[in-house]
Amino acid sequence: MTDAPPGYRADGHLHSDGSTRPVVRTDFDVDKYVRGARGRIHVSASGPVISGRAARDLAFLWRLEVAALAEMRSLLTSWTGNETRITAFLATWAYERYWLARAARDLLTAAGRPLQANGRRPLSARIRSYGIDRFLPLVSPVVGGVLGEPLAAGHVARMAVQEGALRAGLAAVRARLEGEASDAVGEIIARRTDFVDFFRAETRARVERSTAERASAVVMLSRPWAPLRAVGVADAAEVQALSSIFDTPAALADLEASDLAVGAILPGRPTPALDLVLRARRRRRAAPERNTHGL
Amino acid sequence: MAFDLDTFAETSEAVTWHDLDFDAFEERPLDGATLRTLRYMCDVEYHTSCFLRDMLVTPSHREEDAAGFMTMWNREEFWHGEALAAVLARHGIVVDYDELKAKRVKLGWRLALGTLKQSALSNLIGPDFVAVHMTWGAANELSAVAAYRRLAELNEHPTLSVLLQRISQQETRHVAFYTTQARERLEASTRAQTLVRLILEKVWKPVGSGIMDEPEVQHVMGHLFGGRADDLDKLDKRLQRLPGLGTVTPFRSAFGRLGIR
Repeated sequence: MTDAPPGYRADGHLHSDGSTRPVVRTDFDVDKYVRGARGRIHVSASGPVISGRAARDLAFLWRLEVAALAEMRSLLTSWTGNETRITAFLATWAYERYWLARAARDLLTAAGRPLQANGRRPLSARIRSYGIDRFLPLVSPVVGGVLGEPLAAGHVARMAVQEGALRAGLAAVRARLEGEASDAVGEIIARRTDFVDFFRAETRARVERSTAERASAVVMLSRPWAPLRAVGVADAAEVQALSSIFDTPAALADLEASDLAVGAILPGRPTPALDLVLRARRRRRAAPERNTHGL
Repeated sequence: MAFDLDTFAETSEAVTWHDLDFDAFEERPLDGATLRTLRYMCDVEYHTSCFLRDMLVTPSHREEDAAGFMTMWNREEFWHGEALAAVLARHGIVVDYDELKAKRVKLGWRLALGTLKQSALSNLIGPDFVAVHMTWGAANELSAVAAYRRLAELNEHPTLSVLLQRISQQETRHVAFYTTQARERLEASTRAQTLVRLILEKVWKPVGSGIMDEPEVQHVMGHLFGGRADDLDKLDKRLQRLPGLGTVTPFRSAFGRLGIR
């Protein structure tokens, strides 16, 4: 080593001395992924035509898409923030999520469709949102410090389920779109494949190596957390949107398959996204007088 | 320079170095002091996710412009780390995932409690805390620009100096964001001005102090700015342009506390 500063070992390392567990490595090539980051998806200002129902469903998914930083916060404020291969991935993931959200917004804006849901979120969601905003950052670092690395398995399992469910939802909505709108959503779906692959591979590697990590994944995929929410907080239009998006057997089957990509390797075979959608459909059937999406 | 998120996001890119002649490091390797400073900078860049985390626990994460900026900034800083790691690798110094994880894990409760403190202060102080964050960020980015330029100047290396200039150019865009945000918030609140003055003078430390040991901070900052009081004054003057901060001298104060004059 050329004139090395003090403290370095012969192998060129300064801090890595075997006392810290190495990062998890999977077949997913993070170096290749970060080098190939994809930016803006161009949408014409006057092109897309999107029906009312498809627009409302897409707007719901946009509200989830735009919550990337909030999701990142959950990971970074806990032990998972120490996992440098994950944070390297997240730096590009957040960038790509930004442009996916931008594409969905541009589509809706160009079609003259609203982005926000009518009505307020349920009280339980508002309370949960307040708690996540104010108290989770106080609690999460401490819990992470105590529980340590197994916590990361739970976090990546959540992300794997969330990204898979988002992809399934987008695919269901895309079936009702045409032309430029269909193409743009198709691109959003295609780019999401890397997110799904990374988090699933990360989850599999962690839960297969220890009981503590399997337990972490099971606990963190359990209620009150649910996917298809922004950091587990229900959207105002959740019941209507999920019932509308996943209204065919094929869409439900796709969602179940997505959940089981992670669930099948865990005790109890959890299917949190499917469960949430089925609950939404039951609630929707029980309240047929309510207008679609609160209108 | 005002900040335009759309333009910033559209033009945000990873710093490049593959067109630079890295074989120049074989012919003209960097000396130990430079490598030590580069390693400091590399660590600080790679640990941007830790600084990001601290910002995300404040109200600023809910604002569209701030959220968009943080997304781009985090990625750009990651690539600064990659570029500097590539230079270090040419000198036999390894900065890979395991090395970085070991550093973060060894910081342990210091990192965890840092986040907790940010969140608690944010809850206590309220929206004015965002002004503190933005001004702090401005100070950090200003010192990063100055540090990169100073190191480029110290070495006059055909490859390193070009790379450092590229990095510092990206950092100037970060300065634009933080100073624009800081100005808006300070203009809007005299309470924020009082708070920021107090924190800048009494608490602010050179960029990287939160994750590096003090002897390392002293060594690197001394290497770059020892005997360069004029440089520190210029940095102070940049901050003094912000509303209510006409008398602050955080750089002189902080560097003075480190024994660097």
